[in-house]
Amino acid sequence: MAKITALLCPVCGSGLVTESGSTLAQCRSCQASVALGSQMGFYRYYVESGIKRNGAISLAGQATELSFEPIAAQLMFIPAWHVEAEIFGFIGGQRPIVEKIIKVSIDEYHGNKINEKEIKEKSGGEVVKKSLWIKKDYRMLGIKWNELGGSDIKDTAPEMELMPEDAAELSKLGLMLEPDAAAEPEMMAEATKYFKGQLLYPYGSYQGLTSRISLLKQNRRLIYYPVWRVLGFTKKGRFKCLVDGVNGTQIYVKQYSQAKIVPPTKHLIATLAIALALGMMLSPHQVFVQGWLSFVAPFFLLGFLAGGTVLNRLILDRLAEKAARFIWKV
Amino acid sequence: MKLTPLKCPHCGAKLKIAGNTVLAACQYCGNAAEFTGESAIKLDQAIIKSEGPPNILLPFWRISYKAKISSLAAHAPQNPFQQDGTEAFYRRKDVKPEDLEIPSRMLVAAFRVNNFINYTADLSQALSLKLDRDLPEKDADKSMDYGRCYYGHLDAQGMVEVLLRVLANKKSRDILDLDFDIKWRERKILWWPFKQDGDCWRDMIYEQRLLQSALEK
Repeated sequence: MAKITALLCPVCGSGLVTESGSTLAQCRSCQASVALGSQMGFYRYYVESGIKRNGAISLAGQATELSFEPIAAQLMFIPAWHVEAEIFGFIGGQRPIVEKIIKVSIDEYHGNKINEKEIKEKSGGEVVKKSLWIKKDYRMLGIKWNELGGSDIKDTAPEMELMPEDAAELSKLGLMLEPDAAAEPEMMAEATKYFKGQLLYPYGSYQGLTSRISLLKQNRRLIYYPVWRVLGFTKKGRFKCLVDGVNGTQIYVKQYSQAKIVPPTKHLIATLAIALALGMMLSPHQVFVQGWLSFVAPFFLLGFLAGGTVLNRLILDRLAEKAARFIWKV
Repeated sequence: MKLTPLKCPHCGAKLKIAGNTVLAACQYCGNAAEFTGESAIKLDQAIIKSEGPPNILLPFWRISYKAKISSLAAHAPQNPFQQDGTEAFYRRKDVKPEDLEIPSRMLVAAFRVNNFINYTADLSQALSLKLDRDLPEKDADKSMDYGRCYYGHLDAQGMVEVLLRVLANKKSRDILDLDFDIKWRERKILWWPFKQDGDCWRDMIYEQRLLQSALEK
């Protein structure tokens, strides 16, 4: 179904109408056909986000069973490559020759003894020359981001309603993530390899295999797919969630542990207390020589340690959490 | 994004092309143009004359070229019942078969069919091999069924590259590994006449058949 785009006709300035994924748009007023430009042969489209900001926050909150305090929700557009093509090719080769040993039983008339004879049977060797045609598409994420590893964005994006991308308009909606510049030639090489592999896969064992393929009706697309990135806090600490901007599924959920400050003296004091206590048990005379203070010292140190821990919980950890919140908000 | 209004390459008027088609006729001057994905370019086209009125006209690209075989390897298949191993498999390289004649132009179907190999590849091959002379033509007009044109000239060139390899291998018992250096020349859309023959369309020049259901979407 044709859809109105954010793009304007360069002839009369009216709105343009286009069909999903088309390389052409039609002007509603002057009836002119307008070609949508490509970059390096790739047409750019985006998928509209069906989930609003509040919806994304609510969905992220559902991912945690704790009370959730959101601090930021940002719409990002993740690039995904999609190359569609008809692959027409010729293959020539010889089917591999397979030698089988077949055991044939031979009955002997003299007596009831049964013997077996081994016969070598060769099969294959036929020359195959044929033309083949298949239609395939290749999908790949435009950025390498571990957090998107479990998502099916690259598979979902091409099936959606595709609107022609206008960088100025799209950047108003959210953050556009550009694909890695080095990824483009790498992706094309991978796509061509994939298409060839798909066509030649059944003939991999053929001898003297020769082939020639052509990609017909190539449609190269770069699709920007919406993903909400929601940051917030639960009582366990910082919380991050990526929400699919179309169907609202949680792509990635991460609950960080609470920020803590551990003073370096903690271990030192504990070691000293243990050393003194051990010293008292092993050679009490030497320790008592120093007076009653030596006897009390380990308990004093242990008390100091417990006091420090309480102090950490009450003041330092809270300070650390506040600092982490401040950093996230910034 | 760069937006380019399409203009007729003949008269400069606004050109209207429906989505997913590659050819269109100018509504003002009637000349046809090809949409290449970025712009509209000039297109030559003609109707092949036939005896009697055709039931249907189907578009074919006639692509002329100069093909040079820059390298060649011939693999002689081994006899599976006399030899074993692969030692006798490869024949000496750079052996050029004497009977290898490459046609200098080919007809390639521009329309979409359900069975590509049978009706785009094989039908194109059959017609190309018979295309030994220039057939009488007449001018096409803007009433042609441009919605049938699915493959553009770049797709047609891709098909020719594969079909040349197919044709060369058909002529030889060996498996030929050829590398064609092709210089593309003239290209033209020919509207080829077909008449109804039972549940088939029969080509009115060389009697090649095409199932009617092959054209159904």
